[in-house]
Amino acid sequence: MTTERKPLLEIRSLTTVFPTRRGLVRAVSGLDLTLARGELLGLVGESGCGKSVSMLSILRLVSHPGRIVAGEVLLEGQDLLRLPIHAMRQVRGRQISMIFQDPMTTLNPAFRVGDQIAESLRIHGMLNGSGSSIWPFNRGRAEAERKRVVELLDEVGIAVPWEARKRYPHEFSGGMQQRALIAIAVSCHPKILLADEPTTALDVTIQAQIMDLLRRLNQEHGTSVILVTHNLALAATFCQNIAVMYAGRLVEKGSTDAVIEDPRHPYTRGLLECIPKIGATRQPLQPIPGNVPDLAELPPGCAFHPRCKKAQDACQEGEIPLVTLEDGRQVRCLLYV
Amino acid sequence: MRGVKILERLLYTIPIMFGVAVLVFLFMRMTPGDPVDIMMGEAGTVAPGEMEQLRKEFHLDEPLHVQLYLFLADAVRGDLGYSYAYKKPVTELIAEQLPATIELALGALLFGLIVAVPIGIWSAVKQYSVVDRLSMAGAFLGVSMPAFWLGILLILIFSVKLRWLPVTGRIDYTAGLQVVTGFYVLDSILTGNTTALVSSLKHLVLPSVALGAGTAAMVARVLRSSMVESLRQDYVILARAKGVRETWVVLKHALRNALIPTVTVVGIQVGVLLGGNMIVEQVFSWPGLGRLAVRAIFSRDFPLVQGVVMVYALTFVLANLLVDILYTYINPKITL
Repeated sequence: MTTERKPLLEIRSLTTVFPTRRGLVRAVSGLDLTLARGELLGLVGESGCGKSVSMLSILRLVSHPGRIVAGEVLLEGQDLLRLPIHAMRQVRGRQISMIFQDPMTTLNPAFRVGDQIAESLRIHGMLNGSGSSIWPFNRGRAEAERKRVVELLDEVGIAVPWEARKRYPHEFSGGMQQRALIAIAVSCHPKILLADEPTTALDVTIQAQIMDLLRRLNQEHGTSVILVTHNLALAATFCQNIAVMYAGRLVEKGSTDAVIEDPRHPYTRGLLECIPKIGATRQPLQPIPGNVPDLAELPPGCAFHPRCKKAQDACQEGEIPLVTLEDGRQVRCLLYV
Repeated sequence: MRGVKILERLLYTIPIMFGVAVLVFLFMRMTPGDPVDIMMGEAGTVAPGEMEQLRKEFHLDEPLHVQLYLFLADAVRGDLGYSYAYKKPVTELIAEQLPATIELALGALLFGLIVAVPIGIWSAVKQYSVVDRLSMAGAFLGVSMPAFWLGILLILIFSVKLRWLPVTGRIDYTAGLQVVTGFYVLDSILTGNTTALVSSLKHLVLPSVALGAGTAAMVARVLRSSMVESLRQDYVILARAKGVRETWVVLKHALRNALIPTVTVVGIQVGVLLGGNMIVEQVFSWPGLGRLAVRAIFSRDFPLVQGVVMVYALTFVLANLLVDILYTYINPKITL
């Protein structure tokens, strides 16, 4: 019973830094985030607020020279950051999968799409009783593999899957490439899918199809999804809950309706005010004044205070705690302390 | 489909070879020095009538365009003429020496790749590490060091000082090798002659190293930079995200893509190794095409020079064709 209550994924004060010439860039600084089983969570924020890096940090895939310096990433209570590398490999693609922003560059141009899907199956021994060998030696297994690849391609909505598996990535359209990547990601039935701006590189009609596909996978397999996006409207239509990040931190998290109807953090409010609404009275959009702070020189206290309309003197000092309000909403702002 | 394309490309070599034949013919006639004079100079005193006689025999008394016509007409029939200096058909001379040159080129290529591939990959994976910096410095040295200098150095160290390896030649004649194909290493294996095998391999080591050092350096540098590039790509992150072992991420996902630019360089190097070995063959007295060409040029042996140059040109063209064919296998985006 207790395990059911526990969140599937719990990120605690995760901090990822990149040493640069100008100093230490804190891409993610003390991120706290939880994801429940079957949850569709939207992670929203401006470009460069650390969304993608936090996703990569979960899988420990942050590229050199970036490194995770603090925090915990608990998957069903087990801290992934302390796992030995071979055990971590069992998590990647098997427990937690990732979908990337640019399908064009993410698929390997030198291998057939079907083989790239099959590789995941092989690594994680998803075909009856096979080990984790890279090369197929066994004929029966090759047959089972082909069948499963076709199934997967079919499941993600690629037409004529038995032909498509033999194609190279450059022979696919952008939408098909993203579908193929989703097929790779879900091939081993992961518990969590990290979708990092999965539709940014695609046009709007394809975007809707891909989001439908992700929703279907969530409903049919109960896969939890973190949708990383800068598009609040997209997150609002897709997700049950929304988390807002600013300068590497979580500033607000709550159910989608609550966050959209009644945003608490001044930053969330600001974000919503710059989205045009159809049918609303003609009012100029309200951009948030100022710019995203330099992550190498974060302002003290609340990183948002220089741009905040409601800033007080106290906002410039000390750590602002993340408080949970009566409706279960989490906010990191002195107004609610 | 691929077969048809390959055939088509092979047909393209005909006009190329024709162009090469005309060019080499004209350039040779433009070089100062008369073959008959040189021949007679070596022979000592001769009667003037004898020189006229020779000129006539070699068609050197004919106008240039007639000579060109005669040369091309024979060449089409596979007859590259008769060497002035060796008094033998050029094709026969080339056939005798070609295996030695190919054997050396293969040895050099093998050495080059064995050295370059691990270094290139390792340096890219451990970019800016001590290993990387050392090997890239070594590669720079390898590129800049002239092959003849390296050859002499190798002879001094390994043959003269340490006495580990022979100085010159292809084999000890006491080994009693029975020549079958002209490739001594292969022949020793075919005839089961272990003494000859050891001897021919020993003779092959130093010239291969001298000739292959430049190739090793070039390939290592190109492979490193393309590996660095491909290791930065998104598909590498995807491979890691799938749970692929780091070894396979590097050797399969990154290397496969890094091979595309590397194969071009290797292809060019094959041409260089076959055609650019005159100096190394000279230093090691390797009885190959390069040494033949040098001698032919000095004695203004027109037919022989023409023949050798045409073989070189053909090698380059075929090496390039080979690269293009390999490309279609490595890079799915490219068709012939």
